[in-house]
Amino acid sequence: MDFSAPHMGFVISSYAITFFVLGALALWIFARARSVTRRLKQLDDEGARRRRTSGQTET
Amino acid sequence: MSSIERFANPTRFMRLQTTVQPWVWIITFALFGVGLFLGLTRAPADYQQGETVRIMYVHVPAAWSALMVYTVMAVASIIGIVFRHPLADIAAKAAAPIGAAFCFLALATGSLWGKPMWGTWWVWDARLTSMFVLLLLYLGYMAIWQAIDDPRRASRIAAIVAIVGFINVPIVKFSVDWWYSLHQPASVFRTDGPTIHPSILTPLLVMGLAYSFLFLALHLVAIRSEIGARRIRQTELARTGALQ
Amino acid sequence: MWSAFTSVIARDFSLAIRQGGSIGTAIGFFLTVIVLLPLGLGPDQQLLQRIAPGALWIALLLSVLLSADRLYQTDHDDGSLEIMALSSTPLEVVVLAKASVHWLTSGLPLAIAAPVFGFLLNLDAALIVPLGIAMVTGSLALSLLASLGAAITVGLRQGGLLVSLLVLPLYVPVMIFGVLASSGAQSGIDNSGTALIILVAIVLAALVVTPFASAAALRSYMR
Repeated sequence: MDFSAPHMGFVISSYAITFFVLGALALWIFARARSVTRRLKQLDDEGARRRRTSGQTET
Repeated sequence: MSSIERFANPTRFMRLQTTVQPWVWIITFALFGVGLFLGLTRAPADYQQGETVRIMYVHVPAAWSALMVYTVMAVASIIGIVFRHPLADIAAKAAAPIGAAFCFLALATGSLWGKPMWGTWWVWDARLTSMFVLLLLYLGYMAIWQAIDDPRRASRIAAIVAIVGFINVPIVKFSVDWWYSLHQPASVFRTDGPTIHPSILTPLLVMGLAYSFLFLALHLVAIRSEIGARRIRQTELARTGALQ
Repeated sequence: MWSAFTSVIARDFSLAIRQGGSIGTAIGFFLTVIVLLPLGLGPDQQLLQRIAPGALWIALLLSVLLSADRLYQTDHDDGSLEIMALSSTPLEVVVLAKASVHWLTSGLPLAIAAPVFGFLLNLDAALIVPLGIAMVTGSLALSLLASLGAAITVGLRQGGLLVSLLVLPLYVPVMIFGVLASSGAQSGIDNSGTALIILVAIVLAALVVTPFASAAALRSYMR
């Protein structure tokens, strides 16, 4: 690839914006997955605690 | 549907997803690697457009994927409404942000390609206009999910939006095509460069495949999150005694 | 079923006449656009003449869209929507009736009036009749699609922006073929006949899709 070609800035910007948008998308999806897993674990722990103390089963 | 039945399918999905996920990522990265290598180093520059034709390797796959993901969304919505499969509307909801990102990239890279090629950032021809409408449809679809709290209600309304929008996309393309073919454009512009030569077609197809696998990889994670989010909501509502 | 259809129309029609409501908004908005457009674009009469059909269509479209917002709101709020859904009349028929009334009270009058106001935009006099015909036809689709947007967003608080976001993509083909059917030979070849036929096809498609999609959406809000 000839980096001194005219309009090279457009090519680089296109690849850059692609990389950043897809990266941000992936980050957001993974961040959401992590927070959901964390919250679920939290709820499961609370549920286990309640079952131990009250002897009832969770719905 | 009892809560046990409701989660039987999702549990199977979770197990499937955990085994499949790493492989999908490996394939995705491999395809991107090969595609970018071929497209940026092995493919020739265009004799007229020069290096800017390389934008095609991120622009065209993004556009293809934006359309493909919307189709997935629409089909999932139909399955959700007709067959009431529990994962269908989750799959549709999870796909939307990914498709919207692809759609945005198609428009952005298209503009960046158009400026050096046509001299203008934007032109209202059939393809660009229908891509723009597609982005509006994605945004409207996501907005519906945001606006309605009850997931069951939201999924039904969102499904209607997805299906009606799906019908509309070819109609928009057809109408703008007609409109534009009658109003001779002021400047002459060409379609996406040469696509017949294998040294250019191959990286393009590889990149197209790469984007599809990227969608699959992200979609699987997003579906998993969505299943989890539904479970959280159910548990929290049950805890406060407000289960509907 | 026909009598149920006519009775819903009669009820909504008399409500609309008594309360004024959407027709006022529609006319007001329409005039605002038509008056401000030439002021904003400048006095170039030739420019105005070229954009006149498109501008009139845009004004019509926005007026119909903005006045359809509240279409199901009052019935949803006071519960009469649920009563209608539970009655022996299919909800689809009710939807069609309500959309028809909206058309009769805002879309249609504006469509007839618009070409007359074309002189404010230096509309070519030869286009008045084609514009009128195209607008009367297309405005039915506009009303139907606007009512679909209203049905989809009936339960929501900030439904306004969402309605526009959902309905605008649907308006694109109506607008395009509507303008083509109105422009006559203005842009070279005269394709207005074919465009009008396609516009009719779009209206027919809207007549089929709108009741079913709207009823499905309304039912989702009621369960």
